[in-house]
Amino acid sequence: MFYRIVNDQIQLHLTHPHQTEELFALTDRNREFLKQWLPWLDKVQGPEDSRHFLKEQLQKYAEGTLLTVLIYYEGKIAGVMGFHQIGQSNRTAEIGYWLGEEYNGRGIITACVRELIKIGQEYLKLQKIIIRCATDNARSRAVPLRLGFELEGTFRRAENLHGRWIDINVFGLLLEENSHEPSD
Amino acid sequence: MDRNRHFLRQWLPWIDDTQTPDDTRRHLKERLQASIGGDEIHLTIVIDGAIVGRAGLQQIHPTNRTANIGYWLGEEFTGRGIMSETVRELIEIGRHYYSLQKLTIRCGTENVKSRAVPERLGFQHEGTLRRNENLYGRWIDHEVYSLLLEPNNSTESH
Repeated sequence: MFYRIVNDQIQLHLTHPHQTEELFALTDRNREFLKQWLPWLDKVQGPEDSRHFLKEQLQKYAEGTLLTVLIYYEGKIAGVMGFHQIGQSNRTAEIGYWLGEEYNGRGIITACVRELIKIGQEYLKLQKIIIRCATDNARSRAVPLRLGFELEGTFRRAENLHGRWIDINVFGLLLEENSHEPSD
Repeated sequence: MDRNRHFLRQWLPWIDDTQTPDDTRRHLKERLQASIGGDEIHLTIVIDGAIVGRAGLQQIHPTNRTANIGYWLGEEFTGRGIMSETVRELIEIGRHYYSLQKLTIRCGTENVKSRAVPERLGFQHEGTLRRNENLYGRWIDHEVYSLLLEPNNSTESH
């Protein structure tokens, strides 16, 4: 399928139903690991749920509301990331990401987020990118901090994750200079 | 609303979409519809029989039990404590009818009158979202305030 090369090992692929089995296997194998920080694991019970996700994301990409890509590492699906909620009027989008446990600690997400920032800048003409992480999710928080995002706030008890209350850090990266000049 | 067009346009994005009474009628019906769905509740503030503004709970989230409070008043009705009293009532509605555990208010950084409401009511400042909205070509930063309605140390959801 259509993909973008990040480096020799990493590619970002548009979602497509043919990735169903491999994505479901990755998700299923990492279920407990991912459940620590993601709310939707219980909704993915079989390959059909992954297929539905892949199709739905491609549909929404076509509508221009988001961009979801699969992270391929040395030819295998390692995780999912993308821009959620691409806001047209405020030209702001939020980046979300996850990796299977076995792919953590190799700088994959940092390299991919750096690439997504370029895509956001060049193709989506964004003026701002947001990353939200649970305050206790140290690995996830390290990514925006490493890439020069600024901490804009801490939302207390913002999410209920499997019965536990989560505080969320909001990080923002402004992509345009003269940040308080008119937009045009 | 029409009389306060210039005043409201300072901080609200939808003023130019409201050109006629029909637009207002459509808005009222849509908001009432959304209230039925449970996602929000929009109320008209009436004093001595006259409409003075609107206020409500938006983005009511059943799992997180959070909602955002939004409001506006006609210029001639500001400075009388009307909104603080209204928001105090909305907090009670959020607590008792929607079982919310947290309420959020977002104000333009330079919207001093609007910010005074959460500050007066004991909301805590959680952050400043830079360039969060494009308002008629001008970039606006938002101040985020929140009020926790349950003891902060309770880790269980119920």
